[in-house]
Amino acid sequence: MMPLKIRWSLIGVLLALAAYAAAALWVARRTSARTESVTTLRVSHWLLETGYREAFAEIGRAWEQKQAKAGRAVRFEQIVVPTRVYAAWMRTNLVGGTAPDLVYVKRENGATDELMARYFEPIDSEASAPNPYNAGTPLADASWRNTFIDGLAVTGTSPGLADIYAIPTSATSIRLYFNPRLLEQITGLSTPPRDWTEFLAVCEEIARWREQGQHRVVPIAGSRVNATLLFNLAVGGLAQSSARQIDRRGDLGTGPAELLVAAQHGDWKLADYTLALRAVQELGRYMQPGFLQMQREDATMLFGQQQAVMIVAGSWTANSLHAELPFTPGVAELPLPSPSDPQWGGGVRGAATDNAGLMFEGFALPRAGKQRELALDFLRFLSSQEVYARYAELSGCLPVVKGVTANDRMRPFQLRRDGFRPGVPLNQVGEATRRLWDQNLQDLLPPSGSVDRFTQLLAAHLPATLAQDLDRWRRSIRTSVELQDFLLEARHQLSAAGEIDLSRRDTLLDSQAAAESAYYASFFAPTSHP
Amino acid sequence: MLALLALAPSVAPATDNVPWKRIASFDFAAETPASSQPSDVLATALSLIGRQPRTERNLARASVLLTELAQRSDTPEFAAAAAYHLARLAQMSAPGADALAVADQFVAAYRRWPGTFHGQLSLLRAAPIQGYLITDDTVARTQIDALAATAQSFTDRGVKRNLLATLAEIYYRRGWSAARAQQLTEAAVALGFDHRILAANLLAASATRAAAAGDLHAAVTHADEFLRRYPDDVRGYELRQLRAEWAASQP
Repeated sequence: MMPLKIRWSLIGVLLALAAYAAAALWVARRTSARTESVTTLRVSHWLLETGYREAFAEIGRAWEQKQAKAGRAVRFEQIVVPTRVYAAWMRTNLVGGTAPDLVYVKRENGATDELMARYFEPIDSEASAPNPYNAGTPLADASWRNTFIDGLAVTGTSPGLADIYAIPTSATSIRLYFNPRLLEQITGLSTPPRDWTEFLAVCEEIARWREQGQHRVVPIAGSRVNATLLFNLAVGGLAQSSARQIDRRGDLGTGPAELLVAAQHGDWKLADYTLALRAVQELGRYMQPGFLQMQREDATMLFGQQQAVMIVAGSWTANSLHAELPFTPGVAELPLPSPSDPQWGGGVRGAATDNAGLMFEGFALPRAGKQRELALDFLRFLSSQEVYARYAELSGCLPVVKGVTANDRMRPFQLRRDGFRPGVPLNQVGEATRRLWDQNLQDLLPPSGSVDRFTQLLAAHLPATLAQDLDRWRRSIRTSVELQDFLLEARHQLSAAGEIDLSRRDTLLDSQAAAESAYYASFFAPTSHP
Repeated sequence: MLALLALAPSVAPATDNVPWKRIASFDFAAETPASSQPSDVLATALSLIGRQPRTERNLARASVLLTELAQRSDTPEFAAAAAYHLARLAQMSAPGADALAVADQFVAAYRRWPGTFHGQLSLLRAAPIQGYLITDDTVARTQIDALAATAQSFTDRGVKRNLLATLAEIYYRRGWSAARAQQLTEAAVALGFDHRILAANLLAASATRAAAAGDLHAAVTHADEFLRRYPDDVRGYELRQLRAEWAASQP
């Protein structure tokens, strides 16, 4: 006779085996049934914020029905992979030939020029033809690319390859959320502060209110992520003048590379950022102690528990924030000083534009995909004016299709175009300078930091980190130009053979020549301004 | 060269541009055709250069193939292409000031094959090297003036517009002549750019460079054109402010 304990263990194992067998059989039957009669379109992305998955699911169902009416049985399936592992997951599947039919890509998330050229298919010719799903709309005759607000020049075009690879789904911006009830209760204001001085005064009033023991509330909920967004807005706004000074091409476009080159040749001065650093220190006073060690969730919880009056967050989190908050927040731009502000306006030229609202990001078509036409059909369906309007409504994204307006909740996030280009935040210049900033920020922030000490620290270490970042930038340009050389030759030969349009060679040539010119210009030390 | 080609696996000569399609997707590992067709030789050489991990042996093999192809007189387009890629190979190992010697290689390639795409492309590559790395202002100016004169005869529209744009920026950055920078920028813009962002960049630069040259009428005209063509561009607001200043300052 078997002991009772062993008998129960055996029964458990048998039950587990039976359950596994049943599950395997169920999956196999489902898979078999699906593969026999239904074609599945698999789409991967990392958009985990509230609204995006739901929006894709609804648009996917609508697309399935549309296909069914045309006599095609198709199934739409989302594969949602967390951002942290997405790049590795994507590369593994692309290399292994197991990538989904559509893959959401972004340069900062692993979509390098090399990866895009090797594993994805450019869709320039498709983007040049009208989107049939726009029939009957004002966009009916427009080429697909021209149905997007930027003509896919930024959002859809891989920067180093100068080809259209992606169909974007949204733009982004960063705004100040506030708790209207708390704001009014503490300050008597029914609207958010309209200028920088008033904003600081409101923060001060809230801080005093807390000190008087009225309520455990801080002016701004901070975390490493949210504080960085806030500081970058402030630095960009208060150092606008420096953006003009480092523009050596005269095309009004400045970014990290221009700052690196200008710094190398003494045309960029840390002194131009003094007011911006002072602003960061001031803002640091108004966040909860230890905010740099907090996660985004901590800051959101603080704001949600009404222990903070304000928080700075991106448009992509708007739906999640609204879902998590027990009150309806107000949304506004971070107010900036006016240029005439004697204390803060030294580097300000006016309102700041939402410089980085558009970037290369969207759904791309893997070369190994076996359902190319179906994947393109879904993208056309998703980005058609009427369907996209529904997508924008459901997801709460900032729209990128012409004629589609943001929903009421997202209207305050609409990209600001009537402003000057912001200065380049130091933590966006390059990896070495970002580390220097991040690792020493506490020397600027309260309770023990000071602008003078932080400036001295930067003055001592910035030349080295900026030089490192310039080297890294030069290496990346050289790598990119070398890769482009192969493509350029291939496109030259293919266009000569009539296989592709000459414009695909020449678009790449434009991009490569500009990059190479910038590379060699970075070695030139100007003796005087043009 | 035949001996080298014999090292490659035996594959029929390409007739459908497959090697170029592979290179266009950065597939350098594939077998290359054992053919003496110039297109195949060039594709083989580029595949050897692109193959990872990059080895001295592959680079040397590519160099031999390109050198022999550059000496062939029956196919000037491919000979020019080979000379161009030989100079590019040399440029890979000369990232900084050493690149000046490579610029001479590019200029030589142009002089030998001035009517070809690669000959003209070679001069486009020489321009930023000479324009930014030659420290003596007089020497640099002489070289760039010569390139600007030569650019007028270019037949490849894509190369010509980029050379004009590159030269314009050199005149502007070096502070030699805002008027010449304006003139060359306008000439580049007139040829039309396929790359939308660069087209917008150049039009914005036309306006500011014209203003720098004191030609405020042209500056206003270019600003208007920019605002008409790129109404959603992030620089529109700033350019409108500048346009108002220029318009108010016009005599």
